[in-house]
Amino acid sequence: MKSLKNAIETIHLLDDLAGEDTVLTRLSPLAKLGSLFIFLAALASLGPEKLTNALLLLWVLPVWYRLGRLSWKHPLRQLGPVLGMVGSIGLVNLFWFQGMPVSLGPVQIPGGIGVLLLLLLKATGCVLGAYLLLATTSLEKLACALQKLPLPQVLVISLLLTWRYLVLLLQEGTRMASAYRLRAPESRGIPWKISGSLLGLLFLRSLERAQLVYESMKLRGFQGRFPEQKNAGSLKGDLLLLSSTLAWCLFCRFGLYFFHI
Amino acid sequence: MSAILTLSHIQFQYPAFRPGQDPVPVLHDLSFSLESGEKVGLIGSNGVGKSTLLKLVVGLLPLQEGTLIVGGLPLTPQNLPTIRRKTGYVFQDSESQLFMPTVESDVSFALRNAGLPAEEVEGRTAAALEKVGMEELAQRQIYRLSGGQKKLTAIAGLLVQDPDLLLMDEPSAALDPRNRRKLTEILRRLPCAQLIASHDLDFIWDTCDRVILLSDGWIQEDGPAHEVLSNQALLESCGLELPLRLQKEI
Amino acid sequence: MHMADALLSPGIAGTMYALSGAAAWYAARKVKQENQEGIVPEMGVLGAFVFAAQMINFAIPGTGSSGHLCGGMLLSAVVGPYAGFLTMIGILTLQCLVFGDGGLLALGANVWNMAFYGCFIGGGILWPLLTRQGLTQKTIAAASVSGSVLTLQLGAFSVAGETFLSGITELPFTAFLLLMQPIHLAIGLGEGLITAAVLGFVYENRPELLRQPVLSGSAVRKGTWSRKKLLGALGGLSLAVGGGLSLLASENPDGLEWSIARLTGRTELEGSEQGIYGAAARIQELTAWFSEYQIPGLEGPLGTALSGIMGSLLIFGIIWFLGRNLRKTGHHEVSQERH
Repeated sequence: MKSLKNAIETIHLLDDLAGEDTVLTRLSPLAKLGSLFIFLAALASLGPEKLTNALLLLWVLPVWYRLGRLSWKHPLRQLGPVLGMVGSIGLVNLFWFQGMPVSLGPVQIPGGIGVLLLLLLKATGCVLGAYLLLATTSLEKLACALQKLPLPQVLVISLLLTWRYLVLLLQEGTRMASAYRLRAPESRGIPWKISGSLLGLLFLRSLERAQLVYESMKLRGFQGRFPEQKNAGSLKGDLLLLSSTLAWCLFCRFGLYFFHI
Repeated sequence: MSAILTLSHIQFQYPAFRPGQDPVPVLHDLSFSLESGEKVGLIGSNGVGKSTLLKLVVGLLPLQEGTLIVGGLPLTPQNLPTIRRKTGYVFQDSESQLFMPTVESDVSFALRNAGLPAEEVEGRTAAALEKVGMEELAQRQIYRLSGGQKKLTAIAGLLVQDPDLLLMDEPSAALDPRNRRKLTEILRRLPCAQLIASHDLDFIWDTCDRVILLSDGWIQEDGPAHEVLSNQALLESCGLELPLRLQKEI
Repeated sequence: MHMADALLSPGIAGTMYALSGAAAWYAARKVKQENQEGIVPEMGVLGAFVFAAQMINFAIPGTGSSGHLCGGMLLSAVVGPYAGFLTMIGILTLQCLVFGDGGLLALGANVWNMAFYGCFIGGGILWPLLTRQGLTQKTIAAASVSGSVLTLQLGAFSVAGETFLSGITELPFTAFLLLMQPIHLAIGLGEGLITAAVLGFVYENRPELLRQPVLSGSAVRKGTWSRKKLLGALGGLSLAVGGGLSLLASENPDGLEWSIARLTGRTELEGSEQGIYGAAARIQELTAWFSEYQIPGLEGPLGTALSGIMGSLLIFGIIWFLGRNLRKTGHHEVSQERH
C-alpha cells in the first residue's frame, strides 16, 4: 500500500490532468472506457506465441498519451510494483516450464522466457492503459456517464461520494498517524492495540459526517439520482476513437497472420 | 412587510440515550417571527438549542409541539419540499454540506436536480458564484478550497435557489478576519431574511438588526441587536460575554 | 491480493465480471428493499473511511509484519453485507483507477476475491452466526478474526484458481496454493485482530451502530445450519473446488501447448540452437528444474507432489528475500519522514 501522502498527491495530480483541455479530455468518458476495454481484452487474449502482436499492440499507448498530453513519469512509477509481482510469477514459472520456443519478430526465444516477457508486456499495457482513464476524465464525469449504463444507481452515487470524501479522510488519517508518531517517536510502527481507538475515532467521525451529508442532500432535494452534467465531447470524436481502437486491436490480434509474422 | 417565519409555542426534547433514562428537553415554548428581509441573530451559550431550532425549521428534526409556518406554509410533510426549496440552511461544518466534487457542480446541484434547462442552470450558477466572489474558482475541486471558500461555496449553493429565508449555523466559525469581513458584507447585501445562530457576538453585531437570546431553551430577550449585545448583565447571566469591541471600549 | 490484468485471460475476467455483476445486482436490490434511511451517504463516506484506514498499517505482534483493517467485515457489521459489498466495489474501483492496484480487466475478479467473500461470507453469514448469542467484546472478536481469516483464505484460493484457469503461467495449481494460503492465513489473522479492535471500540462507545445479529436466508430460518455444519460446509466446498482444479491440472498439464497447436497447426514451434535463442534456451535449461512437474530421477505422483513442495519453498524464499528488502526500504522511508 502506498503512503497516505502519496495517495493525496496522486489524487491531486489526476484531478489537475483531467481538468486540462486536450483531445482526450474532450471525448466522452464512455468512449474512452469502451476503447480501453477493447484494448485490454485484446492484450489479455494474446498467448506467448503472439509476443510480436503484443509488442505491436502497445504502440497505441504512445499515441493516446500524446493525445492526452500526459507524462509517462507518474504511471511508470505505478507500474513498478505491478511489474515486480507479475515478473516474480513469470520468473517462478521458469522453474517448471521449459516450453516450446516462441517467436519475437524474426527471433526465436524459449517458451518460458516468452511467457515471462508476455506477462511483463501485458502488465505494462494494462497499468499504463488504466491510468489514462482518470488522467483524462474527472471521476464526476465518469460517474455521470456510468449512470447511463444499466448499473445500480446506489453503486454509482456511493462511488462519487467516496471520491468526494477520500482526500478529506486521507488527510485526517495522515494527521492521526503523524500525531501518533510525534507522541511515540521511539515506536516502530503503530501497534495494533491502538488501532481500535485510532481507527475507531476516525470511523465515528466519518459516520457523523455521513449524517450531515445526508441532511444536506435532503435539503437540496436529492431523490436518489445525481443530475447529469452537460455532455462532454463530440459524437464524431467518440466514434473515431472507438473505431480506430477496434481496428488497431483487430489488426494486431488477427491481421498479422496475413503478413506471415 | 409580511412574516416569512412564524414559530408558536415550539417545544422539543431529544429521546433518552439509553433505556430507563429520561428524555432531554431542549426548547421550551418558543414563539417569535421573522419579517421578510429581516436579519436576526440567534445567540446563546453551548447547548441552549440554537442548532436544534434551525433544524426544526427545515424539518431535519420532527416537530413535536407547537406550530411552525415558513413562507405562509405550515410545516407538514406535504409542504416540506416547497419549504426546503425556499429555505437555505448553511451548516456549521461546510465540508459535510458540499457533497459534489467541484464548486460548479455543487452550487448547481439543486437546479440540475430540479431538471432546469442547462442555460438557466449555468446563468444562475454563475450569478450565485459572483454574489459570493467565487466565480474564478468554479472548476476548483472542493477539497482544495480553504475553510472560507468552502463556506462561501455552501452559501452560493443555497443562493442559486433564490431563498426567501437563510438559516446559518455558526457561519463565522473558523474564518480568518478577512473572510469574516467578506462574509458580513455579502450577508448585508443579501435581500432575503436571515436567522444566524452564532457565538460570535461581534459578527452578529455587524450583520444583524435584531437578536434573540436563548438560555436553557427559553427566550430570554428579543430586541434590537446593539441594545441586547451591549447589555453586559443580561449577557453574563446567560453565560455570554460582551462583544470584543465593547470590551475594549470598557 | 489485488490481481493484475496480466494474470487473467479475457474469458475468466469476463466470467468474474459476470459473477460479481450478478452479486452487485442482487445486493443493490436488497439495499433498495431494506430502504434504510441515509444509507447512500453512509456508504460513500464509509467507503472513503475504509480506503484511508487501509492505508494505515499497524504492527502485528509476534510476526514482525504489519497489517490493516478488513474492509468487508467492518462495513458489513455496520451497514450490512449488501450495502457493504457495493461500497467495497467503489473502493476497489478507485484503488484500481487511481493507484493501479489490480487491473481494470481484473476488477470483476478482485471484487469477487475481496469484496464478495468479505461481505457475503464474512459479513453475511459468519457475523450473524458468531454473534447470535448477542454482541459482546468476545463474540465481536471471534466473528472478526474468523471472518477475516476465512474470507482471505477463500480469496487467496480464488486468485490461484483464476490464474490457473486463465492458463497464463505454467505454475502448478498446488504449488500456487501452497504459496498463497499460508501467507494469507497470517495476513487474515492480522486483519482480524485490527478489525476486532476497531469494532470493539465502536461497540464500547456507540453500540447501536453495529448490526444486531439477525440471521437471514431460508437455511438459517429453518434452523438447519449450526455453526459447525456451516463451517464444515464451507471447508468442504473449498476442498471440492480445490480437488476439481487439481484434477484438471493433472489431466491437462500443458494448456499452452494445446492452444499453440490449435492456433498454428503445429505442436511445437521450431527453434534455432544458434544465436539469441540458443543463449536464452541455455538460461532456461538452467532454471527449469521441475519441468513437466517432475524431479529428475523421481517420476510419478510422489515426484509431482515433491516438485510442488520444493517449488513452493523456493517461492517462499524469493518472497521472503524480496519482502525483507522491501521492508528495509519502507523503514528507510519512515525514518526520512521523521527527520
